[in-house]
Amino acid sequence: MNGTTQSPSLETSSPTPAPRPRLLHWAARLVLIAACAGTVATSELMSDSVFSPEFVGEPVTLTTEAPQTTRDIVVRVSSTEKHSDVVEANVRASLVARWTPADPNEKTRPWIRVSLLEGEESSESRTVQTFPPASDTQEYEEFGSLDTNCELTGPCEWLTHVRFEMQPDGPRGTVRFEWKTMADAAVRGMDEVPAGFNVSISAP
Amino acid sequence: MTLPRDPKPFPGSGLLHPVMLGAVVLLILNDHVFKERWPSWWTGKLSDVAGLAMFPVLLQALWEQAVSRRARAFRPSRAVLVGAVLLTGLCFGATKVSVEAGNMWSWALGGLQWPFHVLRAWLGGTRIPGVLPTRHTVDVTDLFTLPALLVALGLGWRRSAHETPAQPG
Repeated sequence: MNGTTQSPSLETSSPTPAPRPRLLHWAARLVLIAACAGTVATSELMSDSVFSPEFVGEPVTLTTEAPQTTRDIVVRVSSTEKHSDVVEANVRASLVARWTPADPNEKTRPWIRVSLLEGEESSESRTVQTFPPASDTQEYEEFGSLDTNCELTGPCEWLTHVRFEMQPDGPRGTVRFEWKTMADAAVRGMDEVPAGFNVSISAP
Repeated sequence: MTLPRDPKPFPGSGLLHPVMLGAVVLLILNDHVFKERWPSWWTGKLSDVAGLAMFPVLLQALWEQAVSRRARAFRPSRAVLVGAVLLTGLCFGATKVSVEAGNMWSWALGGLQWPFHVLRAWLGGTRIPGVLPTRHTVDVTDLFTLPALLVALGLGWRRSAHETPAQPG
């Protein structure tokens, strides 16, 4: 092979070779990194997302005395075709929060916070803090990705908690949340949605 | 065979050949654009062709960068080239005919991708994901793309032939 049979010809034939432009060396390293990245960062086929019907939760009311509560929802993904491919699911909650102060002359607003939690996960993981709303009504959305370690070999199910909080030591009053959730799911590694692929969201 | 117009090789220079640059660009574009926009049998094969044409030269470049400290004494090795081609072909073939080998490849790539997923999750403030296997199709018909290895072999052979005119005897 070449590596073992060639003589050290470069050094003998050109004892003072022109210095290789550094730019070329760096270009080679750059392409090397790009090629490594291109090899490792292979794309994943992903089926189109399938959305669940909307789940409208019962309105939630928080008070200064009871500033926190949680509602559970269950996201289910099933398919009549069994696959070892991984399901990727998301859930989003759309909320309208209305603040009613105990004292009509109260001008300050409490902060409110809604978190989508999966399983027993701590509240630090997915929390969006909202600051005192400028008006008495505030609309927003909370989005969360669910654990993706679920294969379509059977139905996938995620228990998700929607946690509602208001400032416990803030101005006295109530916050009423109207909320609805929707889930979507797709299958990693598939370019088409498998037969009988269904996503639903409901109360437990 | 003399190729006086070929630039003098240096560690990793094989990847600077226009064909290799094209293969790298094609691989990245196909994986991240074409497959998503036009998922088909063809885009699946295109990645295999681009990967097989490029990967042995990538392995050779990694080897050269690792062992060639002194560029002046550098000489492309045909042994390394042939070894890289054979290794690529054997591993590729194994992952296309064996489910176990395919799974190993999927998990290996998933493991290599995992630090980047962790970084993204950390920067985005989301939960750290677990290692997930990448998608891999065990498809014997992919073996028809193996001749793409000849591109790497041919270009690498020609690159190492740059030395030939200066060899005594």
